Amino acid sequence: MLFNYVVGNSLNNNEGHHRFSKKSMLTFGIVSNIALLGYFKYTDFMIYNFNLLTDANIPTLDLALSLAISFFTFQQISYLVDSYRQETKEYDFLNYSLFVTFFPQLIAGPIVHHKEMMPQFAKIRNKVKNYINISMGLFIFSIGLFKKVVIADTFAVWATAGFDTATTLNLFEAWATSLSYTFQLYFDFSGYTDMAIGLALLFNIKLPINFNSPYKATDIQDFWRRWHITLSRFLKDYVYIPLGGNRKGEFRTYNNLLATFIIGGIWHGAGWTFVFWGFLHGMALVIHRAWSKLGFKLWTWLAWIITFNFINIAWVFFRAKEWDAAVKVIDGMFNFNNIVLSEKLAIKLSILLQYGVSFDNISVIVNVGKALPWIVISFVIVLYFKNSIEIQNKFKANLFYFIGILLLTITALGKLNEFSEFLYFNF
Amino acid sequence: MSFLNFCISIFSFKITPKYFVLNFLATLIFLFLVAFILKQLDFKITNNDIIKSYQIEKIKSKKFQEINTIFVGDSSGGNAINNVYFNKLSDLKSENLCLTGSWGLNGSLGIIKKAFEKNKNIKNIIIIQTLDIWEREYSKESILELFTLNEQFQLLDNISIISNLFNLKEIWWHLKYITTKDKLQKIDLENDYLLQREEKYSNNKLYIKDHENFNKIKISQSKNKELKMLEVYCKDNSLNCIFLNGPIHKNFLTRSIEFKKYINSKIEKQFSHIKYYNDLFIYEQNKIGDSYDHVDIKYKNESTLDYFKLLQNELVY
Repeated sequence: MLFNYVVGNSLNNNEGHHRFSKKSMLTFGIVSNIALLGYFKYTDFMIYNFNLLTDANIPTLDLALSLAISFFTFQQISYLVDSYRQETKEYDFLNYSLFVTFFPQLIAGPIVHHKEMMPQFAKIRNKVKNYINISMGLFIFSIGLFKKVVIADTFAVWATAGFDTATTLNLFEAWATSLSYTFQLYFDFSGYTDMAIGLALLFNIKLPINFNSPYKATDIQDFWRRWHITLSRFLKDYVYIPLGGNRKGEFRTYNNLLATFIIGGIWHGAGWTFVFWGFLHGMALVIHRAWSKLGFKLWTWLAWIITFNFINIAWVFFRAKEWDAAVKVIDGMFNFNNIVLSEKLAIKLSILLQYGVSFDNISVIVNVGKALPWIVISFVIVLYFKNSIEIQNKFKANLFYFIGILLLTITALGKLNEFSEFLYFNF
Repeated sequence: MSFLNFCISIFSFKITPKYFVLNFLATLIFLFLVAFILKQLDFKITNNDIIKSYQIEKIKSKKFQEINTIFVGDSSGGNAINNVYFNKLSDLKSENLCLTGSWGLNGSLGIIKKAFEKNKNIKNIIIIQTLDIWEREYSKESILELFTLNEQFQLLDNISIISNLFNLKEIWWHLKYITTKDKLQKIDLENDYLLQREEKYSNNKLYIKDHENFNKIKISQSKNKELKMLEVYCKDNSLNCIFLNGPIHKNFLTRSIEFKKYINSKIEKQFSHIKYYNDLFIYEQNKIGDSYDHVDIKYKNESTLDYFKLLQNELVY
């Protein structure tokens, strides 16, 4: 932190002569940050691949990943780049430290920008107790807690069963697994963000929006404008645009899109499945761009179905610990020779036997019967309900909201005994 | 004013943000206190509460001072041992203190501790656990329910202990109990265990399904940890601890060939001080009660005799 603060200040300082050029200093700053991130997060991944390629047997380091390293590395890189661009002011070190370590958003974002945080830290009025912000903060926090503890953790059981314990999955189990993870990730991550926004509001600090109903997206570009908005913003401003963005011709634009999303994939985790997930999204954006350039359009409902299913399938690679686990789930999702219906339907639907459908216990690995209503309700929530930020804007300190947050909080606290780790802690 | 308008006016009743926050916090603190008090009152609101309190009452009774042998474990042992008959066979004074499977080995240890604290003359401890106990989760709840607060802090993390003391679910469970209390199991005093369900294997209302078997069971690390604690306690107090498998439905075991091999190759090796017998107590459909590991009450003496035959040369007099 001190290193970045000193480098940032030097980059921002127009007066005096520097021994090194500003560009060298910026490069040194960025490389140092990335090297630190790389050492903790990617060393074992590189050793593993090196061993695989060369038949060597170098032991992995098994380093404990520093909490939130991916997030504070990005925040500090953006600070260095903006200092180089002369877009930072002379912040004091205490406020800079608070910007990097501000606990509500430290471990899983939103990835904040110094421009939106530093002025808030410096504002004297923000140091005064404000009950309007506290009540709104409690409200948004309770929504986040409910989303994480009650909804996401419920889906986690089925997702874990399907991804980590099963050797094969039938068609319904595979879809229940992938959809469970799709909803788990959304409610977990957006729930965490809501909690961060709510906690920050207790201190009169407003954090940026990170989710805007992403599963309502009707194309992949739309999705990335709604999902993890602050990451998209970072990748656009500090990776895509510096690479040339869309200013250097169509072919280069496609390359830049692909490179940006592969970097985004690697940022999420050290594994080929993350790289492939980034590649899939990059390719989808390239195809979408080419499609839009040609002037083609789809019906909204069809566009939504394609977009949602693409995202759902891509999450399989994001979640799977190993390549084989991803292939197992994808294979189950599209293996129409492995359709198992409930044994209760065996007599009524016996005609289906000739088409290869079998009748057995459909929930051997993943409890499809229990997951189904949760999936249906989640679809309704993500597609037809207002998101937490929209609800927050309507908040009033009245009895209705009082009872609402009390119920959400009590339900979530009651269920907390079965809590699991936040998914975004590792990224 | 219509009812709807009345509701709208009530819910739209404005509160100042300050009172909104303070009332919210006050309500939460109040609910946590209620949960804490309910926990301390320890009402019998679940089957596990009923069986725990029933067995603890036995330990607290004056008669317990004469006991020199106790049976602990889960319902497979609770349903399989008639201690009165066992006393006749063995000429020992025994008591059946079995809980249910969800208490795990920690539950058995908790009961052993309570029994031994009350009566230092106990010499034989017979632990009977159902065969699938090995893959079950670590029985945290047993530690919270049966161990002293000091022991809890040694064995569990602070968060678990505090969240157990201030568990808001207590309120919900108590509210639920009001509506479901008639459905709770009752103690069958004559047969010395929880009353069984009407549906049984013996009355052909239950059958073992094709996919039911134990072949995937492996010893979990957490269960091994529980066993080690049990071992240490038996050794430190020089108790004659004997571990036996619970009874099992014949058809169930027929489908568990892999598991039979596993018992012989792996489970036996986990024991050091405690004497373990890998013998299986297998019963036909007509002798099994409401679960594949419960002997029907009518055959309780038969299973007691089977267990006695195995134990007779190992008991300390």
